[in-house]
Amino acid sequence: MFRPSLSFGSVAAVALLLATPPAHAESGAQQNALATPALPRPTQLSLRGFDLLATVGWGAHTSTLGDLELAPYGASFGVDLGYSWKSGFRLGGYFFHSLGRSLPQHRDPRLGRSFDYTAEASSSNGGLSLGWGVPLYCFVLRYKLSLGVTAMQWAFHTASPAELGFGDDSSPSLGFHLAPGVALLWPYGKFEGGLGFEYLAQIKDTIPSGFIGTLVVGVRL
Amino acid sequence: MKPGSLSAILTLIASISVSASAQESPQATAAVGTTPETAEVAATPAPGPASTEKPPPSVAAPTVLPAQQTAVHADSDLQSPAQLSTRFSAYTLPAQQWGISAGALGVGDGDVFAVLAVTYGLGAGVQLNMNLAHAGVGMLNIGAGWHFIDTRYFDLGLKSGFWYGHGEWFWIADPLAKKILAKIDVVKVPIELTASSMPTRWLELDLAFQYNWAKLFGAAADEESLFTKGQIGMVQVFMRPGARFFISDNTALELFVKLPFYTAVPVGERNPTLPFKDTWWFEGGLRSRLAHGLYGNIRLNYAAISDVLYGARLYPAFEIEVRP
Repeated sequence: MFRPSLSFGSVAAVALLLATPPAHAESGAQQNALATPALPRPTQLSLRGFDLLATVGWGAHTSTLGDLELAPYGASFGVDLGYSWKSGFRLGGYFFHSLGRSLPQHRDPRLGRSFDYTAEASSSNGGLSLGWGVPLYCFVLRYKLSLGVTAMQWAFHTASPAELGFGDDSSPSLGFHLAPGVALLWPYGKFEGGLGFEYLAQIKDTIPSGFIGTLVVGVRL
Repeated sequence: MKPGSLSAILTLIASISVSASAQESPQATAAVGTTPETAEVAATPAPGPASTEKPPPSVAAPTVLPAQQTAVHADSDLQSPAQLSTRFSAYTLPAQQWGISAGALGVGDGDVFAVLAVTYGLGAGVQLNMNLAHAGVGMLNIGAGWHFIDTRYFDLGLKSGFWYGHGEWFWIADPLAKKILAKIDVVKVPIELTASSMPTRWLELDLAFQYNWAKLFGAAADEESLFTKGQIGMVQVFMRPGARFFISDNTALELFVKLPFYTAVPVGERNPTLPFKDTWWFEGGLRSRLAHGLYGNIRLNYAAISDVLYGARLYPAFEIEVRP
């Protein structure tokens, strides 16, 4: 709630406002920037150096393959190694394995008998990532764009891939992924930890895309 | 009077002096957004609770500080004219400012699939832009914006454009889709009126109303074509409210929702309409200044159109923007 205050600071601030000549030349947006105090500037954090991070997380698939639902993400764990330059730019590599889940399903085709089956899937993912760390108070907000390969292991118990319209692909299915993501990291000495997410946009049709939330813990070298 | 108060008054006088000289100096004025290192101006209270509850340290500091230390880099935050986001806002690029954006996986019709956009500020609040990525796949796409009401708390902008898609040029489509698209041409003219307001240092509110006129030409035009699935070739009226929370001087959280009132596929005389549930979308994202003149943007969209375009209702999009 807005509560006017008559403290010296407020009076001085009003005096300063009145004493400031109007900015005729600036646009409204420029006036906005000039006439009001800026947001707090983040403290200077050293971004340069190697970091080695362990990642644990949980992922969920966001797409299905027609009527077939595969869950190759679930509990995930892996590593992320990278080097950050002073500017914040980071080049890294990553690998993580997702245990996936088994999903019991039912299929009622137009022709033939209906049947139950279980779709089991897990995945291994690895690749290179480009990142950029932005100081945010005592944290580092790291934008990431990863390009890598997914190997999805799958099995359909009591059903054949052809019956499920999975084509003639064999396990593991290999495909490229593009994975934008963000992590909020807290650097503390040589320690670094934080939370983030990645979205694995899968290029190959038979591998579902997925959203993975991660907890990262590691060291800065 | 306490000694601290005397110090504060001296600080205040120094700040006024710096402020006045900054206002009077053309270099300082022109420096906004162009040379952030040199354009330091004094602080005055902002509207909103943050400034009323906690006066700026430059004013309330009980000890004498150099004027340079009391100044703030007001020009170096994301609300300064050179750094404002022109996406979904009333704002346009400053005069003689180039902007080059590259990104992918968007769902908005200006950035659907991919973005490689070039924007140039002509001055007087006018900018021109073109998405080369769309042009590269057979969809000519030029636009213009005019930021015509520019006040302290309220801004209004008009954006429009011209789209022409020739199906035969749409090489990115799979063979079957390309065969269908080859006989289709699409013309689209979006007209958007956007109001933007910055009531406080940490908040920007945007509200857009847009009308898209579109027409599909061709022997095999139908509502299942990629042009219509991508909402590129649809007649549509919608509003798009949104908010940006400036959580620091270099990062903003952005939230937008598209609420269509009317969506129709302009096919022959029928013009079948699409329900709201298939056309609304929500996006949440982060925009940061990565370095001087370099901005990063990552968004998550939740929309039926994402399902059509990418096979999932929840989908990410990302963009890098360079303003040299």
